[in-house]
Amino acid sequence: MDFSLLRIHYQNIRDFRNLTIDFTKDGDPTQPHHVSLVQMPNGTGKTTTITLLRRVFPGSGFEEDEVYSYRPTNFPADEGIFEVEAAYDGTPFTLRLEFNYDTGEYRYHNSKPKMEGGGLEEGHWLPSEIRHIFSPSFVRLFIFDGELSKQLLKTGAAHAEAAIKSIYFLDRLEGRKQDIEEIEEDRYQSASETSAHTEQGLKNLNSRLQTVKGTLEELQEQRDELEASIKREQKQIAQLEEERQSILSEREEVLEEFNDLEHEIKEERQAIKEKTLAVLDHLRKPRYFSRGIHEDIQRLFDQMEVLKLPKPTSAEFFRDLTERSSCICNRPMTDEARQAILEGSEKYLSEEDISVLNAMKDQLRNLPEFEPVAPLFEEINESHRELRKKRQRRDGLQNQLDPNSRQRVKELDNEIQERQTDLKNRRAVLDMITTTDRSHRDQLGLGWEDNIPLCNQRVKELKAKIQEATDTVEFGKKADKLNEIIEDVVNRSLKTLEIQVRDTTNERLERILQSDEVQISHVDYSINIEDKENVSEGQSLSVGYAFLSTLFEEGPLNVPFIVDSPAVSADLQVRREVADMVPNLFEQMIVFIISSERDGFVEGLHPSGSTQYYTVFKTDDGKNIKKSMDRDFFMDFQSEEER
Amino acid sequence: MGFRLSDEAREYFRSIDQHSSTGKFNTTWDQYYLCFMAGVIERRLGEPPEADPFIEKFTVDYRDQRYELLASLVSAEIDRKGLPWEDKDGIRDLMMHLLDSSTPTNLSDDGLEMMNRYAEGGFSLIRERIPKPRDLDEFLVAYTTNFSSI
Repeated sequence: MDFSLLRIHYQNIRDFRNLTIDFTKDGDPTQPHHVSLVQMPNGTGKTTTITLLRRVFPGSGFEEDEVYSYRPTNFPADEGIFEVEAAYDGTPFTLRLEFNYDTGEYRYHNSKPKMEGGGLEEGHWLPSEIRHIFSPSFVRLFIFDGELSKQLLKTGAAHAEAAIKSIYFLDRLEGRKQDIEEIEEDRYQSASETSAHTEQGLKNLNSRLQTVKGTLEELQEQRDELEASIKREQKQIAQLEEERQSILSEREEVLEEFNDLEHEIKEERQAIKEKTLAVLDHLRKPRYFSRGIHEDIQRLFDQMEVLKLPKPTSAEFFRDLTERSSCICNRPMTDEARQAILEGSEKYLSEEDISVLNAMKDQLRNLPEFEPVAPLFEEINESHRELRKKRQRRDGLQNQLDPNSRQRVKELDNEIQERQTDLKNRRAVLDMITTTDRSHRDQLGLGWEDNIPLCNQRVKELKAKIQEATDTVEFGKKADKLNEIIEDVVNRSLKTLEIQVRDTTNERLERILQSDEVQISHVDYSINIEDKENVSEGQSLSVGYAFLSTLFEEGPLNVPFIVDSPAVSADLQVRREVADMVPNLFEQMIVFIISSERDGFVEGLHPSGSTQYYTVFKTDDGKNIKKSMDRDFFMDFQSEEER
Repeated sequence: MGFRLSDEAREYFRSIDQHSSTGKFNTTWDQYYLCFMAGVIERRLGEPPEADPFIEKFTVDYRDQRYELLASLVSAEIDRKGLPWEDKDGIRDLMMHLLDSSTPTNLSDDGLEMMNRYAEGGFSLIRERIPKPRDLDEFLVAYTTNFSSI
């Protein structure tokens, strides 16, 4: 399936009064040039063109304000037209977008290939084979700016995965989940209208379900953002550590010793910690706290023995005795004797008091000898001395590096430390959002508003209630099953495709760069390049392009590659590399550039097919836009601001 | 009633809890104990702290040596009150005043209050002699030099 762009026509769009850019070869109105270079100075309409192309193919709508924004300011116009002519499998067709500047409305017109007489009919139309493929995200892959290539390689950003999903239509399959959900909700709605359950009750359930679903979405977004940022952060830390390592590795033997010392320092610090806790544990026993306390305790015990505290007989015994008619010595219990015994009993303790003093005596009876804490401190001091020595040696090793490197190592140390703290915090939040550990959740006091598994559970509970109330339990189960199947298909396909795309892109890179120095290690959310530090910016830009061309080649559709600023902000060498490689990845390539990007890029181009050179520029009065197709004019052109 | 430690004392130890790289206290009881022992060894009483009790009982780390702690309290009080060691009735009455077999701590309300006051007195000595610590080992070195070697 081949798709090509043949012509763009502007009429009354911003500064364009009437202009056509034709990408076809002379004498063959359906055959485009291999490469079309369109030089447009800033302010001429480059971004407008790219934006409108991205909108016209999927048939996007426009807000009233947007429509007015395309109205020319330098000349009067009631209506604007942006028209593209394209060909699908060699058969041309037209898409025309019309803006009404009086009403702010827009309309699409099209010419289907079978229409006779070349007339246009109202509405947006694309060949049926590509109608469902040209979604805004898909279109963005082949009408794009150099930034996207960088985005594909950006750790944590899911552009590469999204591109695969888009080209292989997995995103459309995923979209069916949304359809299922809508059907499910419709079903509940209609069932609820006929169920015996009170309408208000169901409304409440539905509204609660919507709230929980909203929260779930927010939590999932938060989780995705955290996961992506954690990945980015990890990568960043790894890079900083590598940089630090590379500074130190200028002196390999120094580095080895440095690493050993770092390890030993860590161990010594752990030893100090353990010994400190042993000191605390020793001090926790009053008998070892100090010699003075040990003596206090011992003296109290000794005195209790000497003073016979507590007495073995309790006060209760004497009080019982006075209630008898005779004493235990068989003498009669007279009032006088009773009084004397009661007075004397006050010197005796109650049974309860005796028990606490006895317990104390028992515990103190075999008091161990005093053990001073000092030797333990001696061990800590020894460890501190060792730690100091090792730190000094480590710092000494760092000093063997030049002052700039030393400063950089210091900065790197600080940054690594800060990032690690940040990473730790992010992980804690992520853990809170995703943990399935019940006791952990209880400990943190998490509810469904904070935790995805709990929120999912809540959604299930509410759905079950609604299903029960509306008699749609079986239907709900089938919908869940279908969702699971879709998810499984998408995940399995993605896994296989990521490997397939990686291997083909690597083969392509090897062929183009004529070496296997630059290779993709794996594709997850983004493209990951092996040994990234040794890859030039141009090479990594090439990786992005190679990846995209693989997708388009391996994918079911061959599209033109329309790019704005292909080597944006890159140096000359990078531009040459990109120019040398990219055209041969696509059958049609349209490049929008500004004159300052021309150097390096244009001379680096060696396409296998024909090249055309367009320059689109404002007239001297700045009120109109004209074009030139002359190569020399193209090469010599300098825009006003660059003069 | 329960064991109390003033907010100032807890604030003083907070930096160890937050920053120490050489270990941390297991519980607030550790801080309380070190304050109490400092007060006992120097026979220094403070005002009863107004803070709420942080715990009602001895924690597990101190349960086995609670009678040694009670003995230290009784000894300090005998000494502080100037009771002769051979005054059997005086010592017995003092012990009965401080101890109570019916409470989980074996301390009477008065006994508990005395412990809290010794802890507060001890804390004021610690604060006077040891600058706010950051690392546990550094604090323990200064602490034992000041109190435990006596």
